[in-house]
Amino acid sequence: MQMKKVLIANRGEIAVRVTRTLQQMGLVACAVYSEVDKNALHVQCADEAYALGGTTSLESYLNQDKILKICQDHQIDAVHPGYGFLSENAGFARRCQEAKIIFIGPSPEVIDGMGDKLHAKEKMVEAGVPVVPSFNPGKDTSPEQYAEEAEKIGYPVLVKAAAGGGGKGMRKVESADQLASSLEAAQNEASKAFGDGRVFLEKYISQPRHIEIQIFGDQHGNVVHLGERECSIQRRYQKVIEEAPSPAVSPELRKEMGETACRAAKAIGYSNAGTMEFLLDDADKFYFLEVNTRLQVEHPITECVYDVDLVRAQILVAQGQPLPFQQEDLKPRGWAMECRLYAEDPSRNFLPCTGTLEVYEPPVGPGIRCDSGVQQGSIISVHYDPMLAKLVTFGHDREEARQRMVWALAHFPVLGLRHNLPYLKAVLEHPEFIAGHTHTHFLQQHNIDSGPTQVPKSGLVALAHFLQAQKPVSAGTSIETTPFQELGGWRLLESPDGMGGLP
Amino acid sequence: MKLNLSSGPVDTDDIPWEIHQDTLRNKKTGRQLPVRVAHLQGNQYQIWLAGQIYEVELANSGPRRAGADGAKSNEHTVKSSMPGTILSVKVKKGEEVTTGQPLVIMESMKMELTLESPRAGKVAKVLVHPGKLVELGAVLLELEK
Repeated sequence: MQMKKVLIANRGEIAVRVTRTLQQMGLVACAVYSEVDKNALHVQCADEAYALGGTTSLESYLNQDKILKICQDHQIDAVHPGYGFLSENAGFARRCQEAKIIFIGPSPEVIDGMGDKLHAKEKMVEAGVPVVPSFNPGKDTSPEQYAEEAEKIGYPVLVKAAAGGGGKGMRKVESADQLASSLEAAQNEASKAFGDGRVFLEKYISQPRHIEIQIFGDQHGNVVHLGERECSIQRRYQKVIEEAPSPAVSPELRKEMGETACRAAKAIGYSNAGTMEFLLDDADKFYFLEVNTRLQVEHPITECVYDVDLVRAQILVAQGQPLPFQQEDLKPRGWAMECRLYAEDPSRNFLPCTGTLEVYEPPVGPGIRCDSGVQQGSIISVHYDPMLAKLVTFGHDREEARQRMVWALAHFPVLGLRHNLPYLKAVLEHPEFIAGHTHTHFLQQHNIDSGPTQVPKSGLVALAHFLQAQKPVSAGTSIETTPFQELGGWRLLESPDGMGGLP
Repeated sequence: MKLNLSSGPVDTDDIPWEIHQDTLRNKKTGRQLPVRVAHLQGNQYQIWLAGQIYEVELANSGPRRAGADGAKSNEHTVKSSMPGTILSVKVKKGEEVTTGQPLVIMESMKMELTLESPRAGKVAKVLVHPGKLVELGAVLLELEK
């Protein structure tokens, strides 16, 4: 079925990015938005925009009834869920199907099956995919049985939530005496976060790399892979920097991992874009982690290295067309890196920051791509994800891509709130990163210094100029309306006493 | 121009740089640096200078809003260390608490944060309820002095 109108059930950079491809394909891109997002960039870019109302995610971007109603009221043919929100919600995919609206993603059955991590793992074992040694408890597993199984796997072990993600409900257990308390804590956290307290045990692999394989299937049984992405640079299981290819993956290993991923994808009847996440140890052994049944945040680096538009391919495949690329045509070239710009303060343990983006000027140049969900003047609220943008660079080899990233980060003024951009630059310039010695504990192990704090004198000239350009406040004006007025009793320039505001 | 910074006064006329649009130029050497300035919060300003970001605070004689430094909980009060929504309050007025006991759980940008009691004591006031939006540095709870 040929689509005409597509609704993007998402916000931020991914909604903007999907809009671009839809428009390029001659499709009508429809945005939805919450009350706080009414002026957001993804709304401005779209061809049509519909209000969801509300502020929280539950009231807006997770509101299935409202989204489906909008689709039916406005002759929308398909929904692109982006990532997060409803993208891995099998119930929503099913409701779309019932309403004769194309859900751009895998079938509800596949989403369901892969969403439950225990079930996904069983399926992978059946398909011959190597998995991390683990123990899946039954309903009445006693603490003694857990302890016995943990001994079999060998400490350290990880306690993980069955319905988990993002590190919630996950605990590392170093020795037997910590097991009972860690199990309890993880079960509590899991039931609070996911409404499902089931946990399982897994072998802890020291200094592993996070390697994931991009897979793509169509509705005719074809599945291809588009190589790997390395996402080892993480904080609290949140990815920060990704690259493709991985410095640790040889062409032989790529072929082996890719074929394994394709075999597994075929076994579960996978269609559309998906990602199989693996851990890779230092002996080139890889272990299956999970399947993400959606487009990944870091998909642009694969697009660079394989010269494809994954969103375009998603649309074609969702329309029932065969895959637009064959395995033998897919040859990686060059190197791509991605940095995630987060509104988080590295100096205060990465707590989220809110405020107005007073200055926001993404860099441009050869081999530079910036997928932004914001623009200068955007207000960053507490309601949604702290990711502002993804900066991607591409080069002939890893060092060229890295140098372009360092340049791009250094030519990307972002002011008005604190963020991790200087921190990203420090990681990119770390000798161990330059050497390609990346693993999932990199940020914990290395001390990342995000730069000097003492402002050079020249900067003060700019500050003086900036303050001078702002209008002074007349006496009696109420405070709290403009940033300048928040200065309170501070005075600028020559005051009547000639002291220039100095005490 | 004289700037009254929290670290002390500075006369920018003595600094051999001048500004042309968004670029600083050294009057003697001709060296150029891209620059941007923005207000951050309270008396704090951010200066982006050739890829680095610096924060500068102006001296102030008037009232000031809570910035990051005003967001630290002290002996008697528990303050929000980030802007966000209160998810739950774990204690009631009059309840005895111990050091490190979780008092308030809040959320911002999908991240949860547990605020713990800075000391042992009795809860004097609970100033927030679940669902309430709070700013950085807002007082959430007071302990009896």
